[in-house]
Amino acid sequence: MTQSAATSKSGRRELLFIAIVVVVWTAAFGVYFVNSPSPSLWSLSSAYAYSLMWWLVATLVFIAYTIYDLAGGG
Amino acid sequence: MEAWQTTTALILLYCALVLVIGYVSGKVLKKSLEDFYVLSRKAGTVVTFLATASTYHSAFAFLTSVAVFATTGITFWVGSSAWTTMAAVFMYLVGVRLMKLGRVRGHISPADGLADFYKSELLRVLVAAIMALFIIAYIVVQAVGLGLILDIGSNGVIPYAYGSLLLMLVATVYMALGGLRAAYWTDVLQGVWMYLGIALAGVLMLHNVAAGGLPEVMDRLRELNPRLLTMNWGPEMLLGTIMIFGPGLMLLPHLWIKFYVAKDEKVLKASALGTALYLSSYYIPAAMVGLAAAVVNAVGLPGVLEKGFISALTAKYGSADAVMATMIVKFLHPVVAGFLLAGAAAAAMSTLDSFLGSTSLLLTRDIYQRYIRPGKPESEYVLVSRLLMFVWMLIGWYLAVLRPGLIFDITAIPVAGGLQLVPMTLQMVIPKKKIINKHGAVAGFVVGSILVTLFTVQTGKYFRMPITYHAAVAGLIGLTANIAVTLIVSTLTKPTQEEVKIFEEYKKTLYS
Repeated sequence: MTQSAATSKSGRRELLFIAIVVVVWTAAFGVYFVNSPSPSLWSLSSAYAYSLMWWLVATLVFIAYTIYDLAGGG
Repeated sequence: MEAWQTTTALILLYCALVLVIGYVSGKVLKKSLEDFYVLSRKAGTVVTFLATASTYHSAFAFLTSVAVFATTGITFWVGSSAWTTMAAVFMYLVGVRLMKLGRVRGHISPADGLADFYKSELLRVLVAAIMALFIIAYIVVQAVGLGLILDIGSNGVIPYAYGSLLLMLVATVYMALGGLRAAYWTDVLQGVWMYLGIALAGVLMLHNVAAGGLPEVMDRLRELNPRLLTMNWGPEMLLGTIMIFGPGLMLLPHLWIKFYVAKDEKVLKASALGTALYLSSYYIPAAMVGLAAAVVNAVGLPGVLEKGFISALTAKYGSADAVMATMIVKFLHPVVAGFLLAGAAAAAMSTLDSFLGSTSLLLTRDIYQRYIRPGKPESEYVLVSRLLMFVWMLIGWYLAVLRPGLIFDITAIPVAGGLQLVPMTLQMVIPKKKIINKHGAVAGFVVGSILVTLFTVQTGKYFRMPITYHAAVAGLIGLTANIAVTLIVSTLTKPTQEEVKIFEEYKKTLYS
C-alpha cells in the first residue's frame, strides 16, 4: 500500500470516529429527558443511572475505536 | 503524638519525597530547553499518560469536585463524565497532529506552533502573554487547595496562608531543580497516589456514613434533598463545561506541551485512552464522598460533624472547597488522613508544577529569548525560566490569600480562555483548505478573550458589566464571537505569500 493510500484510509477512519463522537456526546444531553430523582437501577436516581450508562457506552466506544485504529483499521 | 501531628508529618514526608525526585531529575538534566521542557520527546506510554492525567486533575479534582458533589449533587457527574472523556478524545484527534507537527518543525510551546503556522510574531506574543495571564487564575486555585490541605490537616497550627506558601515553595523548588523532567517524574508518583487516595476515600467515607453503601445514600438524599439527585445545570452550562474543560483545558500550555513529550503516535493515542479512563473514573469515588458529605450536612453526625457544616466551612474559608479535607480529618485514622491529604497535595502540585513550567516557558522562549536577549547560551534561558517560576508562584500565592472563591468557578476562567485557541488551532491541524489567515486568527482570539473577561462573573464586575455568566457560558459566548470574527476578517484580508507557503508545508507533513 502506498503512503498516500494509507493516509487516506486513516483519514476515513478518523472521520468515522468524529461522526460517532458527535452522536455519542449529543446523547449525553439525553439526561434532560429522564431528569428525575425517582429510583431506578441500584436505587440510583434515573438521571444518575442514565449518565452512568452513557459514560459506560462512551468509554467502550473509545476503547473499541482505539484498538481498531492502533491495529491499523482491521 | 497527636492526630494532627501524624497527619501533618505524612504530608511533609510526601513533600520531602518529591523534592528528592526533583533533585535527582535535575542531576540528569541536560542544559537545553528541549530537555528542560519536553523530555527530549522520548517519553513512553506510562509517563505520557500519567503526566497528562495527573496534570489535568488538580486541586479541582480532589477538593472542589467533592464540594460541588456535596452542594449540587449528581449534576457534577453528568458534566465531568462528559468533559473528561471529551478532553481525551480531543487529545487523541488533535494532540497527535500537534505532536507530528512539533516533531518536524521543532515546536515546544503553543505560541511556537501558532506563530510558525501563521507566520505572525504578533500572534506569538499575544498567545504567550494572554495565556500567561489566564494561567495565573489556575495557579491561584492550586495555592488555595494547598493552603486548605495544610490548614485542616494540621488542625489550624499551620494557617492557610503559610501552608499554601510552604507547599507552593516545595513544588517550585523541585520544578526549578529538575525542570519539567522533574514534573514528569513526580507526576507518575502523584498520578498513582491521588488515584489510590480518592478511591480509598470513597470506599471509607461511604462505609462511615452509610453502611448500606451508595443505594442507602441515594435513598436518604431522596428524602432529605431530592434536588441533589437530578441534573441542575441548564443545557448551555453543560455544553459550556464540556467545551471549556474538554478542548479548552487541553489547549492550555501545560497540557499542550504534553503532546510533544510522547515518543511516537501510538504512545500518544494509547495515552489518550488511558487518560479518558483515569480522568472519568476518578469522579466515581469523588461522588461517593461528596454525596456522603451531603447526607452528613443535612442531618449531622453527633460528635463528628454538625448539621449544616458546609455553610460553616464556607463562612470560614470563603468557599465549600474545604469539605473533602474536613471529611477526611474528621472520619478517618490520622495515618490514613495523612496519606489521603498527601494525595490531595499531589493533585494540586502535579498541576501547579506544570503551570509554573509552561508559563515560564511561554515567557522565556516566546518573549525573553526572541525579543529581550536573543542568541544567549541555553543555560541563561534555563536560569531565567527558573526565576520566572518563583515570580509566578508568588503572584499566585498572593491572590490565593485573598480567598477568591470556589475552585470550580475560578478554574473555569483560564480554561474558557484556552477555548479561544480552538479556531486557529483547528486550521493548523487540518490544513486542507486555507480558511483562516493570521489577521483573522489574531482578531478572533483577541475578541474571544476580551468577551470571556467581560462576561465572566468574577472578572466582569471590574468592568461593571450589567450581565455576567459562569465562565463556562462566557467561554461559549467568546468562542461564538471568536469564530465569526475569525472567518469575517480572514475573508476580508489576504494571507501573505509566506503564510501560504508554510500552509503547504503543513499539508505535506500531515497528509503525505
